[in-house]
Amino acid sequence: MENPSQKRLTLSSEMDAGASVDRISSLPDSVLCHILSFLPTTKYAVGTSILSKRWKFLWTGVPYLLFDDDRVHKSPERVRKFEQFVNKVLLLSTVQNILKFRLCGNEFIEPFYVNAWISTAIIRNVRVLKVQVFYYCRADVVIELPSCLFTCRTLEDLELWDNLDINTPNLVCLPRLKRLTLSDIQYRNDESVSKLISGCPILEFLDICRCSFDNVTVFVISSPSLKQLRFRGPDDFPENLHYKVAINTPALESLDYSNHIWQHIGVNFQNITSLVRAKIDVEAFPGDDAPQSAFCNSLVELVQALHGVKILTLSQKTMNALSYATTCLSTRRFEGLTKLVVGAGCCEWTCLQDLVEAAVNLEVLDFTKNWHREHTIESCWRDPIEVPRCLITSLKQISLEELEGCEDELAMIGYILKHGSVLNRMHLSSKVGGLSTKFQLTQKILLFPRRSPTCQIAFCRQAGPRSLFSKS
Amino acid sequence: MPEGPMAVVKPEMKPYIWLQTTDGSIQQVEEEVAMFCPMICREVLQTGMGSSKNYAISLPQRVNPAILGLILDYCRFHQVPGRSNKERKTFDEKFIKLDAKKLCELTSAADSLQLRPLVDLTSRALARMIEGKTPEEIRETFNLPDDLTEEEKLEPLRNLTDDPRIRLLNRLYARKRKELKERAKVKNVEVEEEQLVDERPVDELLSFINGDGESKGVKAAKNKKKNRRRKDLSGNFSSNDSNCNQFKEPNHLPSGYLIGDIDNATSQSKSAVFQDSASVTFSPQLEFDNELDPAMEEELDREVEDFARRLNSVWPERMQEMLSLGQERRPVPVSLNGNGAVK
Repeated sequence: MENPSQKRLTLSSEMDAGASVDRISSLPDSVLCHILSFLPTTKYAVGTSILSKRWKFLWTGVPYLLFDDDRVHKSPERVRKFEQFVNKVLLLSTVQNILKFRLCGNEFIEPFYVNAWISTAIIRNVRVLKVQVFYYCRADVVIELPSCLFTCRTLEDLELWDNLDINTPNLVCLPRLKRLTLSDIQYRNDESVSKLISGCPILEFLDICRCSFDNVTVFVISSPSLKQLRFRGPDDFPENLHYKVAINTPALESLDYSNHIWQHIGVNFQNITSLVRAKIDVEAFPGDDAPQSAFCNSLVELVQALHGVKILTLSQKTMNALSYATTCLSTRRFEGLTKLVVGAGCCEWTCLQDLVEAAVNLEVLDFTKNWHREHTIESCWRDPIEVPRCLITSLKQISLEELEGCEDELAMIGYILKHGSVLNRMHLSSKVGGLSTKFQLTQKILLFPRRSPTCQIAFCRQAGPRSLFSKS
Repeated sequence: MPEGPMAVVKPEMKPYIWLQTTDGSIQQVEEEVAMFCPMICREVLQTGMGSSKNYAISLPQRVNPAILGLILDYCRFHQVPGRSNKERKTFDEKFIKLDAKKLCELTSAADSLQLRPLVDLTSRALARMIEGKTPEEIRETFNLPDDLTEEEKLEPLRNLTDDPRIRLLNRLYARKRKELKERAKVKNVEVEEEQLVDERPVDELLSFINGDGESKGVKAAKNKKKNRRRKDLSGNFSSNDSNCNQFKEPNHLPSGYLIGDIDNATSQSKSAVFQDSASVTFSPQLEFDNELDPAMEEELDREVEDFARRLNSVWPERMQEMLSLGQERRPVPVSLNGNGAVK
């Protein structure tokens, strides 16, 4: 080996400790572009063009073109500048294969430009495309989506938001599309939707959020490959039309269904043989009137159609609506159900009992409440006539949140402990009251007789307000 | 290349792989750790190298021993299959807490070893360093040379609008650039060339421009400046000459008007500019030839200097504004406006 100090002299300048050497610029172009691609929007990347000669045109190689304009302002001047910025970036960008193109813009953008920009993205083999230009004030303006969008061979993820008008051409072929999000979209007719969805042979994730009066009466979701479906119904629906949703998805594993209208829900599960997880949230309209029984019965039908799932999550409002139904939930057994997550305050306990009775193989029961309603019935907890089968044979874990410490709750907890033969753990948490109240509650509960010898009771600290349904 | 047949036959028997960095030093590394790097993995499998000290795998030039140590730490942690995502994430977050210099070296080395996850991790960290910083700050963090001319920096502005202010600005800059070039030439000839940089404080200049300052004090300062300048005028005549030619263009716009316009000056300040320069003959049609009044010349130079300096200091914020479209500001000249406060 040669003299180490000699060796050191021949090393590259990168070895110099503490010298003010520009190390970053010596990285290859591809790496620098890669670094720039982690910046949140293209604006930041373009901003690096004034750093030095080396950086002047580096940004043109970044395959992420993300344009976010503040959507709220009303200044046409700003919109013009934004348009010019996007135009200039697209002209200078040397990327032939755009990985991600996002346009979140203000409503005053020229529709002509939006169309041109989307076309550019598609010509340049875009993989992930998101368009969100909300034409709120300018309701008369219609953005024509380029028809090449519906036959794009490279598109893998498409998100269309806010009042875009979809006129699906006859031929829809999106061979690589796996994820599709349609939020507040206007369709031309029923076929627009079904054509679009059936034109995606390998679609796996579908997120639909309907707006009121979107020209679709029967919403058909038919896809052999779909695995995850998130469906949010409109806030309003023309009364003369019958609200119908048909779901024909043999490969579907996860369903998240949410609806806001009181009308008769005509959800037809034509084929959901693979369904594992289902989440149902039917939000009530403001007001304290009892819902119509037709509606509630249709809701019962809906939930019963999900008898084969493993994990079922029902929001408190859903449970509340179910409790007004005249048909009984437990006419159907939920043999596959192993985990049940519900929102249930004391008004919903009757319905909960029905469910627990129907879920003969239930292993985990979680419930919480985030919506308190004054109970009209005097005593909410009534011991069921027969001990539910799952309590004797399968229920291992139960967790109750948002305890208030009232008599009804204690009665329920006592009943569960008394009959739960295989119960392993009971998690309880409460936010109400100070330490002493909680302590007393704890003491009472610990004294209840327990059927199961292995049962442990854990009092958890509740982290804070937690909704059963996370915001997304 | 000499082969290592034993190594090829039973690689599993050897728990260590030998690696050599460009400085010649060789180290041995546990096999599963080293094989986490695709480049090393390929070398071992394709050429059978790395089985012994004599057949150590030569690592790319961008990998130095210190950085190799870091990379191997990363590999050592992540090659263990049983770790949870959370554990890995926590490790990564701690691992990435390095200074810019180390991060760049690490990125470079990881890239040459084709260790994609580490390249992503370091790139993300570097992007975080770039994001949210002004260009000045970024240059400082990474020691970038500030080698763009002011005009080049301004380029994005060029086609934004046809605002006459932009045109004026561009003209000023072109003139300034020429000046700088000439000055550089002259500098080579005369070593002790007095700097034409205006050494008066910015505020004083501002007040002069805006006519806020006392005319006396300003006049005195200006005269001082005049006297200093006079010495070198002969030397600088050539540069002034070229500058003059520049102004042949806007015949209808007297140079004084230029300044006034940029200022968006009130009539008060306009008159202030010309009141004090007693020797200046202000006429709407200034003849720009070799007999340009040196005082006028001087003023123009001062304006441009000041402008340039101001631009340099406020440029980062300006750039942010321009690009973020966040403000309905007019372009840069406005910064000279009003109260002398730099916006």
